[in-house]
Formats: sequence, structure tokens, C-alpha cells
Amino acid sequence: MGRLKIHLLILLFLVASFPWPARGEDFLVLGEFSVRSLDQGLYELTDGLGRMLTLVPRDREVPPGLAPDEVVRIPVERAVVYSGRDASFLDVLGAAGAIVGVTGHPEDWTLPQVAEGLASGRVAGLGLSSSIDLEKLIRLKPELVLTWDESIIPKMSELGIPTVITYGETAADLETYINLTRFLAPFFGAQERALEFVERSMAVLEEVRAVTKKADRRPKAIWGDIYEKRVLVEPGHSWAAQLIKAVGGDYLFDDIAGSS
Amino acid sequence: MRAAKAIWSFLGRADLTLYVLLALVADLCAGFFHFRAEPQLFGPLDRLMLWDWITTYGRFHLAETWWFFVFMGLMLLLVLNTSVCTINRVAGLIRIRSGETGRLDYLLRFSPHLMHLAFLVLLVSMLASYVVGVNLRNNILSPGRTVDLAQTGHRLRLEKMEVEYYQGRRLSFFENRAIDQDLTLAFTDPRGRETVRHLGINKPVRYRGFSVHIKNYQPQTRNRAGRPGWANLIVRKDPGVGGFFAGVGLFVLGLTGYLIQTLRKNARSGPKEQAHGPA
Repeated sequence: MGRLKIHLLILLFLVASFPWPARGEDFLVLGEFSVRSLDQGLYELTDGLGRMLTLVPRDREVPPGLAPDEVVRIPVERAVVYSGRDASFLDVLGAAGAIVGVTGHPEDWTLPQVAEGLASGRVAGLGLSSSIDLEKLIRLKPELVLTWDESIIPKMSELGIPTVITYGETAADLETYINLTRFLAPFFGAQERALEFVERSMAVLEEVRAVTKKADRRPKAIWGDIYEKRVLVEPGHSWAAQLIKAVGGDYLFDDIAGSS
Repeated sequence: MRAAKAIWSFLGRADLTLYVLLALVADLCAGFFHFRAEPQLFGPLDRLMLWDWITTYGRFHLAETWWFFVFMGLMLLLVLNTSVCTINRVAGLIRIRSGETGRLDYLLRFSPHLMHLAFLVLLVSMLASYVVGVNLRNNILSPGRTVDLAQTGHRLRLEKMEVEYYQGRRLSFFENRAIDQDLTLAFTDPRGRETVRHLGINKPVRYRGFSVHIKNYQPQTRNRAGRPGWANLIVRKDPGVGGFFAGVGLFVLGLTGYLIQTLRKNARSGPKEQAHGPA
């Protein structure tokens, strides 16, 4: 009986000393990205490169020890966006109005808010992503830069502009890809919109899968880029390959793993 | 005192090793499937220290990570079991010293315990690296930029980058692509003294217990050579590395001793078997 009591006490001690999540605490893992909700509306995020950023509401004090480029004041009102995908996610979140600058050829932008913004001058074209106009970017005073390009991080750090790498080191699967809206949502206070979007998209995907499951023929398909000396293809676990499979295709590089 | 003796006796049981090892096999089998199903939960163990992982990925996803905590508990039990067994046996060996004939034979009897000690040193070293080590990833620097080394007062500055491009004709797809790098790093200690080191792929730099490695860099092709270069550096501090190598050394020593002990035993029993065997 005495030994049982000792064992129970040890067990109780172990259970009590475990850092159980407190009420209201949450930690969301989305592929290589993560969102941790902290006290007082703060968030701690891990971007696609594994860098940590802290999101602080405008009316709260910034925790000590953080560099300016590690802190994003939320909700973000001025953002520079590199990719059409991220701009579309912001559109889903009802935050496309926060886009003040984009990269790439202006004529390539089809998202109405951006295309019209570029035409009216509300949104600035910063040039090609490989050689952005830094002076123009500084004049925009962005609170956030969403990009795939890690090469701009040293310059942005110098300028104190927080930068988020929105592409991971390995290819994101379809579920993660859709859920990236939940990663971006805290920047704009749009968590509910993101959840609705994810639920709606997953439901549509299930409907499509239910239909294509009955298909007799599965066309062979690949997704990639063909260059002069090499061909880059999406791996089998990528969102692109999973999308092909969902719509009834036979993805030829299903056995390949890696990055996008 | 009685409770302490009971715990000591429990931890020193030989059959406990067997049960713990069987439990480890079962736990790791479960872990294998969880690891395969949710790699995004365990991948960050690569870049985070153990406690950081436990307080984030680990504790918020217990349905998938429970096996890892069970694994750590079982390993702790195995370490305690091995320690107590080794102490008991070594104490016994020291007591019977007078009864031994040859000094070498007596010393060789410590070999299995040396291997147990090596096992403990290896595990503690690994734990030290994951608990009190430093793993600073994504230090993206352009020439002239500086980064703090884990708030120790030491700083690292990327002085310059030199990239060597492929010049040959045999590998056409490699034409104009970078094949070697020479990154000049300047370390400054809290007193302002500077140390210059050269970093390359597979040529990490070591400085005051830190090691610096290249994760990524630009330019990687000659046609990007005109653009500003940068390097993404990983800064690590593995306090367990020394202990790990010491553990490997101890294990080799113990294994060698055990081999010699077995060979000597066989050599001694061989002639006896011949003497008593059929004619």
C-alpha cells in the first residue's frame, strides 16, 4: 500500500509539473509555419524559413528584447506583397486594401484591387522581384513585407521593416496551402474569415473528390517548369500534385519528395 | 531510509532493463507512425532546443507527441537502471579485488561497465547539446552586417564573400554555377579583439565553442554576380560534442577490453577442452 502511494505521488508530481497549455493558449502548426497565441492579443509566428516574429496589437507595449524587424504591429495597414498568391490570400481575408506595393510586371496583376490600385497609383509597382526599387519601397513606409525572397532580409532588417517568408523550404501540401490563410489572418485581425475560407475550400475539395473518384480514366499529368537545360517539377506531396490527384489526374512524379 | 533502499534495489534490478527495453521498442514503433503521419511536428526539433519544442509543438499536440515524452521517461529510467547496476557491480568488483589472480584479468572485468559508462556519457552529452546548446538559424547577412552570438557579447561580421564558378565544359548544366565559396568572417569579443576566419561549404568555422555553417548564399550563378551577395548562416554551440566523443572513446576502450577478456578466456578454456575431450 505504501509503495502504491509513492508511485501515485510520483505520477501526480510528473503530471503536475508538465507544462499543460493554459486556457486560451493556442499553438497552430501549418506545415513549416506556426502561430502561437499569447496573452493580451499577441502572437508569435514562425515563417517559412523558421524565423520568429511577434505580432503586437497597436495599443500594447512591445515586449523587451525584440528588434524592430521582429515586431509587427497589428492589424497591418500597409503591406508590400511579392506574389499573386499572397495578394489573393489577403483578398480572401478582406485585407487587399492594405496592399500598398507589389513586385513584378504591373500588367501581370489580375486581382482587381491591385490592378486598379496600380492604375490609379494607390498601389506602387516596385519593379521586378530580383531588383526592387528600394527607394520607392522606403517611401511607402510598409509595416510588413510578404515575400519568398530571403535575399531582401538583410536590407529590410537594416531598415527595421519586418519581413515574412511565406514559402516553406519543402513543398506545402494542399491542406497546408489552404490553411496558410490562417497563418496570415492574425496580421489583419481576420481569423474568422480565414476559418470560413478553409472550411469552405475543404468542403469544395471533398465534393470534387467525391465526383472524380468515380472517373474511369485518370489522365497522366505533371506540374512544373521547363527550362533550357533542366525541368523542375513539383513533388508528389505538393499542393499542385495533390490538386491534380483531387481532380482525377494521375500525377507522374508522385514518388518525388522535396521543395517547390 | 527504507524507501531509498527499496528504490535503489528496484532501479538495480536486471529484469528492469529488459522491461524498459521492450517498452522502448513498443514506444518507438508508435513513434515511427506518428513521425511519418505528422512530420511537421517533429521537423522543428532540428532547429529548436528541446525545451522550446516541448513548450510549443510538444505540449500542444499531445495526441501525436505523447510517445516522445514516454520515450524520454523510459530513457531516464534506463539511465537510472544502468547507473545503479553499474555502481553495484563496480562496487562488488572492487570488494573482491583481493581474490583475483592476475592484475590484467581483474582490470578487464571492468570492460562491460566501461561500456555502460560510455552509454551514460553519450546520452548526457546529447541531452546537454539539446538543452543548453545554441542553435541560431537564419542569420542572413550581407557584407558588412553584424550579428550577436547568443547575447554573449561576441559578435560576428560578414566581411566579404568570394565565389568560385564552374569553368569546365564537361558538366554543361553546371556552367557558370558556384562551386566554392570563401566567406571572410570577423569575430569580435566583448573586449573588442577581432579574429578573422574563413567559411565555406563543408568548411565550418569554430570560434569560442561556437560553430558557424552556411545554410544558403547568393550569388549561386555568375549571371547574378552583379547583385548584392548575402549568406544565410547557422550558428551553433554544442556543449555536448566533447562529451559525445569522450563517450565514443570510452565505448571503444570498453569494447576492446571486453574482446581481449573473451579471447583470453577462450585461450584458457581451449586446452582444457582438448585435454578432457574424446581421444
